[in-house]
Amino acid sequence: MSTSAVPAPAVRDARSRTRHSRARGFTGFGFVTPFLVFYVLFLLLPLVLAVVFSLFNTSLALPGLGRWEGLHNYGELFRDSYFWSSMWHTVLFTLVSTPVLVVVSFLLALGVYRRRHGQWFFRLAFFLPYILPSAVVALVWLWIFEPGYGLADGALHLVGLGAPSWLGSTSIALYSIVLVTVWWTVGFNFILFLAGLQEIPQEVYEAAEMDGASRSTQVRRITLPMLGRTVTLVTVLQIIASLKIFDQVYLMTQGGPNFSTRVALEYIYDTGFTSGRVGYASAASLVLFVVIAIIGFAWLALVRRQERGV
Amino acid sequence: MTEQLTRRRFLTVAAGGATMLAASGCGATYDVAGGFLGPASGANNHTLIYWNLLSGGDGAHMQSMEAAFRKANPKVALDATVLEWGNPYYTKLAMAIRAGSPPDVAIMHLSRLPGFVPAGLLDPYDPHLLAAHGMHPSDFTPLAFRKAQFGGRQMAIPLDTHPFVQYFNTKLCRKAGLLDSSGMLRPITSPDALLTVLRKLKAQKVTPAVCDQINDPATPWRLFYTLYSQAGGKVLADSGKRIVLDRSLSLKVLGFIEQLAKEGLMNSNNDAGGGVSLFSDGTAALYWEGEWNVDVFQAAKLPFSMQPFPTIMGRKASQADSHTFVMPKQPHADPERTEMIYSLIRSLLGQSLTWAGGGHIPAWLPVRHSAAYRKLKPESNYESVADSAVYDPSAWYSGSGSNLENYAGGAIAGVMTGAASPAAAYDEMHSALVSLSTQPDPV
Amino acid sequence: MSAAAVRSSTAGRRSRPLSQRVFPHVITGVMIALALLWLAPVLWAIDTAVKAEPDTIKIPATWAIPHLTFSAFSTDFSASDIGRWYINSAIVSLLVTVFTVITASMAGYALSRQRFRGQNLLYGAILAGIMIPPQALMVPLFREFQAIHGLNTYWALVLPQVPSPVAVFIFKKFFDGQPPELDQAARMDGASWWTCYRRIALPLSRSAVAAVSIFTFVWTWNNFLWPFLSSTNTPMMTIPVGLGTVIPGEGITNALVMASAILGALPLVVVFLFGQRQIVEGVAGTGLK
Repeated sequence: MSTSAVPAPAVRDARSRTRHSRARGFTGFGFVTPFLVFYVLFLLLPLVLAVVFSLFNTSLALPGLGRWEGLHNYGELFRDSYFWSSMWHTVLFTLVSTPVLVVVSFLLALGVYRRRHGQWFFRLAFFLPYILPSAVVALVWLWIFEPGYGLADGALHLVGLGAPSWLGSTSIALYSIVLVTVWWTVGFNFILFLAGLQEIPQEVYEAAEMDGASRSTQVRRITLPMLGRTVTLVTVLQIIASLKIFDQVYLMTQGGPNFSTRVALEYIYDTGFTSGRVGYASAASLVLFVVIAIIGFAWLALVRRQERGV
Repeated sequence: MTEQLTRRRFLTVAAGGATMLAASGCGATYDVAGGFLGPASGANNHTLIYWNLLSGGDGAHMQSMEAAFRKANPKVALDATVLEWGNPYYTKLAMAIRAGSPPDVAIMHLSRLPGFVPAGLLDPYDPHLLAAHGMHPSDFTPLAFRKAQFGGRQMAIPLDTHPFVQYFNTKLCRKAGLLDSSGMLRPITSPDALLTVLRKLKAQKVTPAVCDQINDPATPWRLFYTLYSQAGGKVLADSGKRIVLDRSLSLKVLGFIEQLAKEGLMNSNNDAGGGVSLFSDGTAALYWEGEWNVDVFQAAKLPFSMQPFPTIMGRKASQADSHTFVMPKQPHADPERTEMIYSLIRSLLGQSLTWAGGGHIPAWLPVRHSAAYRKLKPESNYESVADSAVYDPSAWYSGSGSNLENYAGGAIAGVMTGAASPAAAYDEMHSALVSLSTQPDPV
Repeated sequence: MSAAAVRSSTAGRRSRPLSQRVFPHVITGVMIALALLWLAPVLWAIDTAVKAEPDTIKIPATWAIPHLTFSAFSTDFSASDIGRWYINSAIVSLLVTVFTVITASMAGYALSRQRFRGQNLLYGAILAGIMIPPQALMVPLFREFQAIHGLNTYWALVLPQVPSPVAVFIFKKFFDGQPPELDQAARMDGASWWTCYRRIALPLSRSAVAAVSIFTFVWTWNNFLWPFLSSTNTPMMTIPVGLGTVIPGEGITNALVMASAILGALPLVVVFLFGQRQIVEGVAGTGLK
């Protein structure tokens, strides 16, 4: 082959490649632009505004930014016992509901994944609540918890037990909300675990059974380790979702009784919209955002390490 | 293939959409364009939007009054919406005004005006227009009418006064020898006298008194504030910027409340619904609450009557509030609509007798002073309270269902359930007030 | 393992102890009980909705229905604006779904197939958006729309719900998994990227589109907080907001409220029954990836 034949097409390709990549580049960014417009206007801009508002005494009732506060809002926030107790309620809610939601959904998936018939029935039963709007869930459960006439009291009455004040007792109300949340959202984790369990090949179990491993040993030695990533994913998603809880609390107890169920977002709503202190509420929501972001990044690091280990 | 994809997607959603449209179709005149262009465009000039927070027994009375208005005014479409009582209502109302599309007329508690007026969220009433529609200052309960004035302008028109009262089971009280010849309770004029009455009832093996404490901060607040005001105490000054809550007076009142709970003279583990049940099924002899439950007890055919809460701590005073009509600030003036609003208010006021059937004392004097109202028993028993009513302390964070009621009421409820001592409750109330009063004023 | 061990374990399997034979059935029984427990609240809501109001306030609570009646459902349409809320929810959910699918699939396609400067950084920035809790943005969003007098319109409801970093992630992952030869051939023939996207990529991504569509539709329909804040007018509310804010009827309204709850959930149940497979696959897929 003559040496001249090689460089010529190469040069030609290089030139057309540059033209192409320039063209590609333009179209490439252009493709992303529609999304970016929405993203900037409705995700980034509000975030920036939140930071700005947090430095002023912005009010819902009055126009403009209000008086300059600097870091004063944050200072007040750190001294605000109502804010910290709302953070505590959020943390408590997360600590209680996360293990329950992870374990219960795992057990449910465990009980269902090997079935040959009727899986659709269980999928329906456990996942249906997840697609219901929070308002529907709240209305139904408010009625279930209705003192005297509700299903909860009725069920306890059947077994001869006295009924607690589900949403009226300062010590119980938060756990009633946990109960509602478990019913409502367990389906999501259930599906994740179901898929994860069904990915484990049957042969692994059969081999273990041939070796004489009992059912529980199989679960411990095979299922759990292979589901490691799913468990981590479910747990972290659950934690983050729990930290952002608002709907059920607002609709069912509004933070009561006596603020015992007031969670962080409910406090932010109260401060920003009921008391009209937009600047202060922005500071509080940014603090919450930072907490969630830290957990999110910690998880990313964990996953990256897990994947590298695998 | 794109066509197939698009078609499939549209089919699924269209199926859902068709179901919904079919279900919702009949009679829903709907303005989809308005949804895109904004509420100011294409607004139906003959629809009057009216918000209130009247659910429950009295709500039914309001709805029949609205129906009467509709019948008499067929050209006006009255769109009445009932929203949840308390902070959610007021938050929504404020936000709707800030959003630029508020209702035309709304119910507001008198005690909530300080949270709306300074920020310019309400339009004032025109005295000439009021007179033209037959409403003069002399037609209203003076106390309520005056309290609705700010800077010389009339910001609200009172519909009623609803005080904290004492319901009593006539059968149980007669058995305990507590009624006089006219069937009313003999006067109780001191703390000891009340204790005696309650102890007598307890000896009869009935629950002497019920006053809600669980999941209901408003009622404990009403009980405390009534007694505290009878003793001459004040809570706030300078529109809520200064706290003048008196420690020793508070402890005296809280101590008395504690005694009632400790001695078992007052039930200590019921919520609002439970309180109604305890009284309506004859378990309790006395029930302390606002007067709006009269319908429930009448429906239960209970032998009962009502009277002002006994004056045991000094002067005549009962915690009360008033439902008033306010006009949220509109982005554009509309004289035609304003006419309709005044007509609606005049019509509802004229039906105050119906309203009184729900327990409230009409603020409309032509009805309040009428023979027909006086014949309304037991509602007219406490009519005089309208002139000695004590409204919640004046502040932007105060009023019916406000944070002040929530925080303070929560603390007082602790004493009623035995969970807190008077001193602890006082400290909680005081620190809550400090926190509320030092927050920058958003109005 | 020795032959003896194999023999003993197979022997064990042939004549399994009673406990091992009964065990699966016990599990089945337990699971059925749990499933019924999970369905109970919905069944109770239906039970209440078809009772006459006075029958709903019996103590102790009972499942018995003395007088079966569907009047609560029809009353709900006249006693509240639920008809309008249906239309609002439908319009908003539909628009958000369409906009989201279009913008996210375009972005995912470009990030996956095309090469341009800073695309990795851009992708990272977009993904970082997943961290932002939407609730933290409520207050500023309210002010944004307040400033342009845009509250109480469909735009206020639709636009903020469109940007979905998760949808971009799903589409990019999907396109990453597709063989590049398909559009490379078209590109060589001189087709523009837009044509490749419209004619080749999009039709092939049916499963991703279906998953994102259904997810977005359900999530938008159920979204409470932002519609709650931005729609103060009753006629502009979506179903969740209307159900959670307005008190219908008068007097005892237990059947009426349960009927409204059922009506509010019905469209989603329909979507769920038709799109069950996609939803389940979508949940599982996003999770595992």
